[in-house]
Amino acid sequence: MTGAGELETLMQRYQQADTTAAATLVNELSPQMFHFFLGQVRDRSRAEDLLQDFWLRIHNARHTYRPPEPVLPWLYAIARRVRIDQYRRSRAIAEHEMQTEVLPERPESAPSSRSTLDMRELLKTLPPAQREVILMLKVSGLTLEEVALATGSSVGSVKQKAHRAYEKLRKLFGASR
Amino acid sequence: MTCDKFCELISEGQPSNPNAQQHLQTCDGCRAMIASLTPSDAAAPNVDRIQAAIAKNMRPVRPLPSNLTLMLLFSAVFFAFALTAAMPVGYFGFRALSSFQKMAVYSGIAGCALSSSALLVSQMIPGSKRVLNPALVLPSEIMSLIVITLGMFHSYTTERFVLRGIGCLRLGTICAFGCGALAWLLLRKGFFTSPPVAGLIAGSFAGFAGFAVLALHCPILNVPHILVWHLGVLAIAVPVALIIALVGKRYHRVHG
Repeated sequence: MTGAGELETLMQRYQQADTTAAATLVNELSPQMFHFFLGQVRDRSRAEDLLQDFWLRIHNARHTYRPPEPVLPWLYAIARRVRIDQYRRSRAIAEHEMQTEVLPERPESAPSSRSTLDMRELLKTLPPAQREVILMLKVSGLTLEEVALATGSSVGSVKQKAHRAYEKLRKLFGASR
Repeated sequence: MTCDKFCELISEGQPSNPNAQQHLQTCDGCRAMIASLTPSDAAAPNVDRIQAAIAKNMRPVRPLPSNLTLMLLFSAVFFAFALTAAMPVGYFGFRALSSFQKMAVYSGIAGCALSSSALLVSQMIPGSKRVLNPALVLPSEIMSLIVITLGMFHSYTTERFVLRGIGCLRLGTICAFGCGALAWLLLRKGFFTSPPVAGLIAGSFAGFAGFAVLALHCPILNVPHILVWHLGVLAIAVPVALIIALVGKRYHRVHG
């Protein structure tokens, strides 16, 4: 993984049309961005589409990054926008689609046992705002300040969302000491 | 340490705190929760196509200027536009005001212009620090103009309240749209993380410009006239800008 400050340098070189820097950035950041999207859409192909859309938007908006500011909050703010747009687009499509046949009901995917819970199953139980914060903090490894910048909220609000999310998750595991 | 305290520590970004680590060793539930929050080993997709698409459209770009520069640019657009737009119709309002009224009214407008400019800039840069909260600043700006109007001017009955008012509202609205269009040319250089909020702020910025033109032009110093017809420009500009932003966003979503 690229160290602190290296992302900013790569981004600066990307702005100067350095193709190698752009390729390195895509290589380095795609896995964590993919996990960020996957944690929210729970569908691999949609997460891949989001990742493509994300890099397209990054490319078009790369002039809005101002060195030497941290890259991650900038990237995640755009990733949130991509995710929100995708959500609204899919909702609009769903509204216009007509169900022609009765589909078999999907079994409730309640968290079965402690040991079988995976990250996506767990995150599914959280409201979107809390899920997003946990994804950024735990999965992407952003700091509280970076999450606050990316989500356009205060550090206090991020802490509160994270705390509520951890409390909820902890209850799922039955830990109540 | 309790699980509650552990949750508090990790939400404050202190997972490596010795107490938290000690709790993790003794509490199965918390340990399982933390273990479950590690990303799955789902492999990231092949990014060759993304890299190729980026390489194909590569050209150097210049980063946007600093927040201060952008804010000064917006403010310059505001003041230059207000002064220029009021010129052909005459600075009758400016002449009708006393020195004290001039100071109060124009400093109030300048404050609104500067704070709206700062809000606009914060909307252009993703992940930038939000110093001002639009939900607090926009109502405060409008309230300050109302307070200045109530404090500086008197209420008296005027003839042809509607007829003269409609003229002011029309002039103010036309100017608001002109200034809004100029602001949009600058705004579109950025990336909006929230187009509706950007629309609301741009609408109020344009509305204040229309109000400023009327404050320079209109010699009617009557409280009801100013509150209804001058501030009425904001009541038109803000919803119109919001609708434009929402329609633009929808169009962008459908057509890419």
